[in-house]
Amino acid sequence: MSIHIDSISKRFGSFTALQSVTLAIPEGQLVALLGPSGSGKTTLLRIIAGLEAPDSGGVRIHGDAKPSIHTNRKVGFVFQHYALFSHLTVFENVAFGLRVRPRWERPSKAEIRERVQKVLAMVHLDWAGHRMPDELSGGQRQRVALARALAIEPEVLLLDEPFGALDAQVRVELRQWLRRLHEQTGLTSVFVTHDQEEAMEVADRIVVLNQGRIEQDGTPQEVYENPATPFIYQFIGQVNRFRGRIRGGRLQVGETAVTFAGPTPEEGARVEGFLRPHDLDLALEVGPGAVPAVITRIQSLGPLARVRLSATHDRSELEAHLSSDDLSHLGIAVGQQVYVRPRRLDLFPDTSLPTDQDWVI
Amino acid sequence: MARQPHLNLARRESAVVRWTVTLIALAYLALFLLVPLAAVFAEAFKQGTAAYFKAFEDTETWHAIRLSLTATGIAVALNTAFGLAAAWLLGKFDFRGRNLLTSLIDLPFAVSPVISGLVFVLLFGAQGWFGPWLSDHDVRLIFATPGIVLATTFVTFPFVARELTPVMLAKGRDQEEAARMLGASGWQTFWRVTIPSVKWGLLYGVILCSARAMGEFGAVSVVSGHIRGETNTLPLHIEALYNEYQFVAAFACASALSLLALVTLALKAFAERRRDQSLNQETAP
Repeated sequence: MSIHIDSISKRFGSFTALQSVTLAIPEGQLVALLGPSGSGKTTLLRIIAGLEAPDSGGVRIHGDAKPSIHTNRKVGFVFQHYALFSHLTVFENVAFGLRVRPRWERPSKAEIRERVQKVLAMVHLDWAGHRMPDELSGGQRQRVALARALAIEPEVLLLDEPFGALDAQVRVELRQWLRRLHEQTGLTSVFVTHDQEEAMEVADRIVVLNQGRIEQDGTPQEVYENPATPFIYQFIGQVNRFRGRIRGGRLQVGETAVTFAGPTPEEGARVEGFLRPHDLDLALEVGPGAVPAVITRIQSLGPLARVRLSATHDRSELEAHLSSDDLSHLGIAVGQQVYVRPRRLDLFPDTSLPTDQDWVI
Repeated sequence: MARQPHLNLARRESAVVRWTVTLIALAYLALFLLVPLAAVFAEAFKQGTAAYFKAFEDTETWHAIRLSLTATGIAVALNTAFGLAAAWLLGKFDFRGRNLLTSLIDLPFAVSPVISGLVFVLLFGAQGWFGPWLSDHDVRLIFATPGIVLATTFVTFPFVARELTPVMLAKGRDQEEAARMLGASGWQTFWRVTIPSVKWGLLYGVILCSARAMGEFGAVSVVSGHIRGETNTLPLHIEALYNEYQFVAAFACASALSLLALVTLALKAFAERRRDQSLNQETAP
């Protein structure tokens, strides 16, 4: 089943949660809605589910009319805090969606038993049918919640921060497991997360939301390598930022004129240039386009070394990633002055106030 | 008993202080709760068990007991239905007028029961606003059973709603949303998810409401008219017997009412414990 979201807007009082969001999700895709809190991602998911009504716009699932909460049994929903029925056993929790069907659609008792056992086996909890939810760990409860959503044989699976309440190790395990489950079932799935690493690892496609709008929509690789906006540069992965003015077709950063590829903004424009830590070269000698900086910390972990620096001209923090071999070739130490040269630079207009010199990544 | 190591501040006081404080507390409890209760039973059995049970051979006493139980039954049933609906609204939905509804539910707590009774007389009595219309249609509310039921219901209105609203709020809306996403109708969600999740709180509220309804005196006293064998509830009957110097009978009836209260208290303690357990379950990680 595919999902079509057509220019949805939603306000809560004076707060705008979504501003005409349009999105099409083809069948079988696993999509992450990624964004900081308040970006509207959960609201969008709840609107797709039919738990919330949009102020304008609509949702169609495979060309059906807008899903109504009463009749819609094609959507499986997994809540952040599991929302298991605390007075029912694990088995009855999973069976709930089948038992509440009208008589003419309800499977027989034997069929219900069989189906519940099947989905419980899928989430490796076939041994837990007689347990109560509060006897299980967080990770197990979330798997029960997933089994419960899958038992109704949904055509679309929606997950609201499914791993948000779990501790780090269980989270990583469940992520990989969700990915495998998706490959088994091929269900069109949408999950909400504020964890970019989780989105990168699990999803086929990432939709980044910020202040109720879609900032970027693409594969994890596209979003990481070609961020569409400064927001995404800063939200996803680590980033370095140089601020300055355009002078003679180059970016004037402090005393240094830095070259860049791509179209040149107009002369005198204030811009910020972004680049990833692995696109920042370190050198001991000054050279063309090299910005002076002082090393504040060196951290070497296996093959990768992370060097943190403070730019001399505005004390902004920078980070360079290089191989441990290159690091030992350079022979640098904390407190030493070196030169950094951006290998590539993505320019965006600088909208912050000119006096704003402090920036912490 | 072996001496306990001094682990916390509360236990660091000397034995004298501890015993004195404990004794004062016990003496206070005895004076205000146990002694009156014992006195009720002592007075009731003063002339032997035969005299005690003779008091219950009186048809007027039985009528009073039946009337009290009838009024309590109807009032509790109505207040359970309305209280459940109100708590469900307040606990699970946001809407305009929430605060107004909360204040309205509390109103019977704020008004003296005697005033509540008077209001019903003013509304439905022979000289009241609706009095002439009611007598034209041959309906008697005041000085009759319907009036007693009405007054009891009004006075005990807040108990179920007040008890259930915080429980409903604490449970949140997640489970209901989950049920509806699984295809349950609103009705199914209410009966299969909402009610089971608040059942101990509901029982607790019903018990409190029953206890209060059985003992209600002030409002009922105003609307009943004290017609013996017709509109006297058990508390009113006890007063009448007492005023006629029939002490044994009065205290025998009072002991029956006290027994009902003790049973209610035991049930209440049980429901309270189960309710707290179920709330703790919910908040545990």
